[in-house]
Amino acid sequence: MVAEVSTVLSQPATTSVLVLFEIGVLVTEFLMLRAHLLRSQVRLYMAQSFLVALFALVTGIHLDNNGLYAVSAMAIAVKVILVPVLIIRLLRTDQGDLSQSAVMKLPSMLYVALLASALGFFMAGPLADAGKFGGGAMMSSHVIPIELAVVFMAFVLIGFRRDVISQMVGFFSLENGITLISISIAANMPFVVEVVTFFDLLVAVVAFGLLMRLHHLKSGTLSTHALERLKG
Amino acid sequence: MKVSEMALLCIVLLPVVATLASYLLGGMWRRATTLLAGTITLLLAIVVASRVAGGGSISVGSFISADSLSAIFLVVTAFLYAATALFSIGYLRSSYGSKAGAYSDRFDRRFFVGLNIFCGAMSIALVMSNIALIWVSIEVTTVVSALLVSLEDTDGSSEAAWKYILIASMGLGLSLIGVLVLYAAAAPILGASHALQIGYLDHAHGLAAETVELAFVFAVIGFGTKMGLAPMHTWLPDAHSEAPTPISALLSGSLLAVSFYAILRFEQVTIINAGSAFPHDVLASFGVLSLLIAALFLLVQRDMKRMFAYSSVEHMGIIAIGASFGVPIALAGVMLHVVSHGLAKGTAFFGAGSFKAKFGTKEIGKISGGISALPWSGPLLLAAVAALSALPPFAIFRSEIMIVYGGMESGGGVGVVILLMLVTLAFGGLSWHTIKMVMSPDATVESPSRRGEPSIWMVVPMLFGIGGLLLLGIHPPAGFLHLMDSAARELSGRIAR
Repeated sequence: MVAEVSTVLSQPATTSVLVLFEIGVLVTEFLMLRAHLLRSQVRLYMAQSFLVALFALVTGIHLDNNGLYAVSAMAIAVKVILVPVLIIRLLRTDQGDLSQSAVMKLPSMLYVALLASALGFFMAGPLADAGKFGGGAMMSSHVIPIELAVVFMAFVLIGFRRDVISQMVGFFSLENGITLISISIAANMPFVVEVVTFFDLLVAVVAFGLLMRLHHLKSGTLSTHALERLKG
Repeated sequence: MKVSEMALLCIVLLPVVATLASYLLGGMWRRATTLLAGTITLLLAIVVASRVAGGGSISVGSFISADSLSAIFLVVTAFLYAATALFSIGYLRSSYGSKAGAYSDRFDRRFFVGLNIFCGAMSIALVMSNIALIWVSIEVTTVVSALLVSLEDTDGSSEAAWKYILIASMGLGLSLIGVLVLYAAAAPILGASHALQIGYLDHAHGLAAETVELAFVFAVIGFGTKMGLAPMHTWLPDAHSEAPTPISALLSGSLLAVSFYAILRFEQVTIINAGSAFPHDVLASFGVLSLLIAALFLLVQRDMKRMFAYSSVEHMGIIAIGASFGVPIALAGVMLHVVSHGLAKGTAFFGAGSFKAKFGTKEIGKISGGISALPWSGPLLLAAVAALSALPPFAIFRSEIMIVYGGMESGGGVGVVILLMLVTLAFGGLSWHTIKMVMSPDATVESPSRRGEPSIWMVVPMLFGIGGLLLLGIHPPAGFLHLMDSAARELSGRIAR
């Protein structure tokens, strides 16, 4: 049996709550872009991940889906606790701020972010329409645009900041956007696949952490301005 | 359980055992175990390939299976697993052995543990029957190979590793969206538990065409990032040039092919449900762009390994264009190209490793007299470059002829002309730089101390690679031809429906 998020979204109260969570996720993404301090960015990521966990929990309750409870629990364990703790530990050795790491000035970057989120809204149309195929509207026009906007804004964060923390947080917030998409359109994906995907994220966290530490040891900074030796 | 099913299961389990052994055992045993695991995996891959050569598939449980398409990629991955294990024995000693402190038991352990996990993840990706699990395996290859790229602990390697993991992970994020969108399209027809199973998707009709096309675009951009398709290829020259050379050989010869395999699985579903025009146009666009960028950058390279990295981008472009032609002869050519590129690029990188060990540099301008200094590796590197340049009698000559013929047959004359022009341009760059390194005279190499190979272990895998290229170019074994045809039928048969 295929879970239909549209079932959840057909209930007005639930729809409002879920859309509210998603708007919260989008706002944290914008705030990450304008954050000046490394720690602020990590805290915003924690808040964003917590909202993702809540989204999974509420959807799980309404679909009576045990897999989504597990996703919610794993999100809290890995994204709200483990990843931020790892990053904060690294920050003990480098207390710099991020104000100098932006490739362009803040207003320009926010314009780019708005364009990126608009792209998300634009691309969601065909997805939501096509989701109605076969009589089962699995994808909802309510949430998919916001989720795609989060994904594309994460790309902006990665591309327009020149420090390893922002780039790593950008990648993890990209993953948050994808988690939301997976809950919205593939809530009943086999649980084994969800668990393996989560484990995979955990491994990626470790790899990112190791490489970030290596970069810090080599260059003595978290900035990626020096990473321009390899060209051509 | 049948022998072929047992072989398939062992392909999954063997790298796990080899990884544990590499972690627990000492230096010599660690190398021996890895070499043994690679060799047995190659033999098992040949057993599996021979079983599926005539069509059909082998399955073990719900999540492990192989058909002719996956078997072709499996054979080339297993070959490079064995060849790299062999090459690494000599390479690690000759490249790091003399540097005090740089080469330690810890380095050796990390290298072989990483090598086994990397090869295991690639093999597992090829025998997974669920598209989400293919994605997971390819993501594991990214994580492990990024750590392997950074292993030499230099400024260049840490920069390359960071760029690689960031760009590849972003790409894989997009491909995961592709997986999810495909699930959304397939679940209403196939049910939640079968929606991502290849065996069901291969025969699934009636999926929403627009959704499947969207999934395909996400897959091509996402997995295409790992495959090295332009413009998402920017991580590739850095990672391939800065990684330890055996890892460069695996990245180039095998990992790019595994990512292409994932794209082909999406293409199959797209062709069945949305027709062939859209996926072929997408592949042709990325293919031509990759070929163009690689051909231009090949002309101006100053680093030997970077040059081979751009050659990989070139060949991925050729493969994408070949797949876009869609007719059986072109698809069979693509299958042959995947195998022969793996053999040739592995051999070329092994040669680059020998040159680096001998001359102490990767800079093309600082290397000369290669054929005198390295009496085996010099000519073998030259032969590998001749193969990569599609000169007869090597297998890439045969595969490119098949692709060109297929292009003409499918009415893609413009594509064929572009392909031939850009391949010729790339040939110019690649051959010019290599001939300069290998054939130009160097007065200093006549002294006996400078002549000779760094290690015989580094020569043997090159001999196997060139031998394979000659065999497939002159007289391919009948079993391999059946396998190639069967894989091409599997892909093109969907078009006919």
